[in-house]
Amino acid sequence: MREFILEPLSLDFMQQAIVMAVLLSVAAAVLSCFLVLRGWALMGDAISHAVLPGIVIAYASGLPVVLGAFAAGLFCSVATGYLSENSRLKEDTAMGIVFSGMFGLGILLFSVFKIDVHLHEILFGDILGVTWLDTLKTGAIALLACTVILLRRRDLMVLAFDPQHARTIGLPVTALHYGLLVILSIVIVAGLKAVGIILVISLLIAPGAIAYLLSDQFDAMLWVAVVIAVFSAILGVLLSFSLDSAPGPTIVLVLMAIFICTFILAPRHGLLHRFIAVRNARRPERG
Amino acid sequence: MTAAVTFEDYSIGYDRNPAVMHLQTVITEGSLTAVVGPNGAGKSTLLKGVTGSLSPLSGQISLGTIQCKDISYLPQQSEVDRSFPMSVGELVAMGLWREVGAFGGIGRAFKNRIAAALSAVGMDGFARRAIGSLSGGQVQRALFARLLLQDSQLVLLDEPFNAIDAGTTADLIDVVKRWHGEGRTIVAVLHDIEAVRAHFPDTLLLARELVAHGPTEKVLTAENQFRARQMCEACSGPPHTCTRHPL
Repeated sequence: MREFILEPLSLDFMQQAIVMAVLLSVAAAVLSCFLVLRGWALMGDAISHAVLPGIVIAYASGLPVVLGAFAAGLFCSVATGYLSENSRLKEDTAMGIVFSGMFGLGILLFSVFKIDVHLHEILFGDILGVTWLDTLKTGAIALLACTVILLRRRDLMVLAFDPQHARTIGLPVTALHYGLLVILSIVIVAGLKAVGIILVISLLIAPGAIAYLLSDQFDAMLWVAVVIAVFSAILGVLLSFSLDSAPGPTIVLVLMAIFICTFILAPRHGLLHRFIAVRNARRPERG
Repeated sequence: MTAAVTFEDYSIGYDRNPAVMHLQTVITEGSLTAVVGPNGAGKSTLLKGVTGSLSPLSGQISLGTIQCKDISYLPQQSEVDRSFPMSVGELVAMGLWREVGAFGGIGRAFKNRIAAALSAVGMDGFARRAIGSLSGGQVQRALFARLLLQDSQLVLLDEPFNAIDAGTTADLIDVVKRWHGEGRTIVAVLHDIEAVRAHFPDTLLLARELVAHGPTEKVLTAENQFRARQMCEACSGPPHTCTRHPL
């Protein structure tokens, strides 16, 4: 046990990796609650793919990566909305067309521009190669995202629960919608270095999904999501060291393991509880 | 009598397909109006048009002295996500939003008002319960408590008594009548014609177009109801085949 924890912690790159993973997971966990509740999980998936052309162009032209990612994410969301409103296509179909097209474009642009970042690194991250400057940037983004979301969490809760009510009480529904989109884009960029734009989607959905199965109160859900995400990040990085595996996928697999346990064992919404409840309900009929 | 909501050649719908066409009428301030009509007559769409969440396809709607923020809206039960992790207190507190704001905590005074609203709908002591643990009727009571706290001049109710028990319906009708007594304007989409006759002085009969609007006993004649059904059947084809019926 001591070896499992203390040995990796004595190494500088492991310390950085853990700090990075924890910072990212806090921001992603808070955001994931809203994505899950608002039914935006697929939107998160789509945008994490669609930011690729924006990131490549930003790298090639020396612009801030966040800017490129946000522009591409916004384009994806607006194009999806336009397609589903102006054709007979359902929204998920429109989303699938747009994000796969943009992802393809991103890979094409990558081979055209020949930037000095590996594609593999953008897609899957390189948490063991981060610098303290990267960690600082991620920390700043995580802090910004958390602050904005937590300050507006009541508004976002109303928006997710009852958009019609949100509108009638005069909440800026459109601004909140795009605000959430901006935060989604910047958190994806924050996750770029750590787990890459493909695996970040796991951090953006799993903590919220697990917390949703475990809690019946909104604030409790936020806390549970953060605690689970941070725990998974730390455990994932430590496990990857002793297993000699890639840290990003290991974090994702820890989250999946927790999700499966929760799905089966959750006190009120788990499979086992439902099974017992159904059996108890049937028993009087037999007797 | 002053107008609370005025419709002028008003058409509204989704994706450019009108659900309600050429509506021309006035809902007076302080009236208690039931909106009735066959399925697909555009009743719920009309309420969404009044809240402003759908823009008119053509024509105009004006709200007189009522501000957009002074409208409260009860969604259909099926639109309420009961698996949302939220307590009854949090749900009801949404009615106080304009006063609390996003940043403010919910202090003791607010908590007392939430408790009072819950008590007024017969839900004493439910504030900490999760909404997922409530029955359909209890959710509807909680949503009425939220409306109580919103304290609006114009109250829009979309099928408020659908699929809830008789006791709850009776209690909630009392709440509606109290609002009417306080001079608020209430518009409710309803299916139960007997309840409309018993409790709603005014009725707006809709079949994608206006069939009749006025005192309930004059509107809910057998002839009008038959005509409403016929008009809706005539309109159930593609929208462009739907022509205007002579009134």
